[in-house]
Amino acid sequence: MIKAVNNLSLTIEAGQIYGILGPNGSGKTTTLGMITGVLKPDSGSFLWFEGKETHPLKKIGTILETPNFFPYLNADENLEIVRHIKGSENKDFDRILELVNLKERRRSKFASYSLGMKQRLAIAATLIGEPQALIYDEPTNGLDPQGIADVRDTLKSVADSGKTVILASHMLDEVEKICTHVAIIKNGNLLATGSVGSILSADKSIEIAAGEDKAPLENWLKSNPSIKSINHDGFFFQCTVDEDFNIAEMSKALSQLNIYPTHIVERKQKLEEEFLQITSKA
Amino acid sequence: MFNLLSLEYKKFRKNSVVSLLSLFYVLFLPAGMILIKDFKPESLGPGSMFIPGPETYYSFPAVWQYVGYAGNWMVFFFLGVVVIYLICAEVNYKTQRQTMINGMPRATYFLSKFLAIAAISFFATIYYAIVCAGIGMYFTDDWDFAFIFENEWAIPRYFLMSFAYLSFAGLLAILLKKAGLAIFIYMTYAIIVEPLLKVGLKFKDWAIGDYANYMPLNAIEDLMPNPFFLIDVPMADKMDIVLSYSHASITTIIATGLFIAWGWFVFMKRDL
Repeated sequence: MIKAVNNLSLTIEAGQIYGILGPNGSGKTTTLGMITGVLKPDSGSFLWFEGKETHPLKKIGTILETPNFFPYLNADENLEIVRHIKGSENKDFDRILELVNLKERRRSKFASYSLGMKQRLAIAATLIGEPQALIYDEPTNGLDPQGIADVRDTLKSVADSGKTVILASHMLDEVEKICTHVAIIKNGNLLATGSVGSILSADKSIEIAAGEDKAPLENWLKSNPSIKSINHDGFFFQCTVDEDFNIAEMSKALSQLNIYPTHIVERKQKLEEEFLQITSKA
Repeated sequence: MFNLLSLEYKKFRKNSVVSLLSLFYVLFLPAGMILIKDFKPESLGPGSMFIPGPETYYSFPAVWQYVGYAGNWMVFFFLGVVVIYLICAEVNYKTQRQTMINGMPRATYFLSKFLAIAAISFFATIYYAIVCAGIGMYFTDDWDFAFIFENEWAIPRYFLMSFAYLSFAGLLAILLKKAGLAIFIYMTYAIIVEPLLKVGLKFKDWAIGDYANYMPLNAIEDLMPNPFFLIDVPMADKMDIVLSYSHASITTIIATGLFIAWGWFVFMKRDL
């Protein structure tokens, strides 16, 4: 029997923007499905709001995989159904429709919306009833670049509002920008968790190329103990190096060997690289 | 309770399938009676002296039986499909799953669907009563209110029949999730499988054959049976074609309880 999620233990504090990262099939959606009551776990338990809420899911806005609405109803009518379920008194959807930029199309049927508009309506629905927490599972899946940009802007606005957010996503750049904490899972197992700062190692990345002198440059990089990993893409080498690695000294050493780099870029390690390193080891 | 019914109304008030099928019920229930307006029993040949003519169908108290039998088919076909649609469409749109994600407990969702079934049965019954009363008052020469309601509890029987058919449809929708498949099984079981089983058991001369009429869909149908089976001729008793109203009612109540319990058990346990 395959275990979709195994021995996963997470604590998310109020106000955190928590990213759940993992490759496809790693158990992200299954985990979110269990904590939102649509999947029945074989074992284990979870607690929302320290068990203080009778109907905790009414205090949480969730998108799980796809936006789910009645296709023959318009935005207002669909939001009214969500409001009714959540038991919220506030029937004024102007503010949230404005936030997701759907006010102009509020009277159009859901079936007539583009995928990006559907996703933005789903985000609007999560904001009904002043939720204490928000769960977004792959909110940009299947969207075109404009749709991704729109949803990304909306997510940033939501994250800035101070609500607790759980975000399962492949948008590692955005997770890095938005999230305060992350958990990395693979095959249902937790590989790493903590604040984004603690997950990102102190290592740096350098990107270097030397035109036709590719072979001697590669030999030098491989022989240098300060360089922890090397990936090459055409003429370019991406290397992970120690925090105190000195580019000037590297240039000097290379010039002594008559290797003259045509391109050198130094930057902090990105979450994407960290993610790939952590998941490839597991 | 009204909160849940109001939610169901908001979900489906603009749905064309539900509106169209409900309209068919409203139109065809009295239309069925109009179609037999010119029926002449003598056209059936020998034995037709037992069969009453249209002047009987339209008068009290027989109008309750005849419209009831027309309603038996209309509820089964049109409103049964409405119920399957109310449940399966939400699986298809994934709004069932989203409703739970939005915080409605599973038990409440299940309750909302069976409250909707009860409400549809209630309004179908009210309409049946209005149609019967209207036709009966128009065609009966001498009537009073006491006479109108001399109908062997036809109104509660019609409600029970409707609720039972629709609960069966609801069970199949919950079990099968796909509207097309659920409608196919619903129709096939009620129109082909159970009648064949009933005839087979009766002719096999097994002891169980005596109980063949107690099969669930047959018992539901016998709450508003074909009025020609009720004609007072010795043959009808001999053939034991229909259950008595009391036996049909008790069997239907037990069967409906089992439909709901089965649906509840499956719905509460499975992943959405």
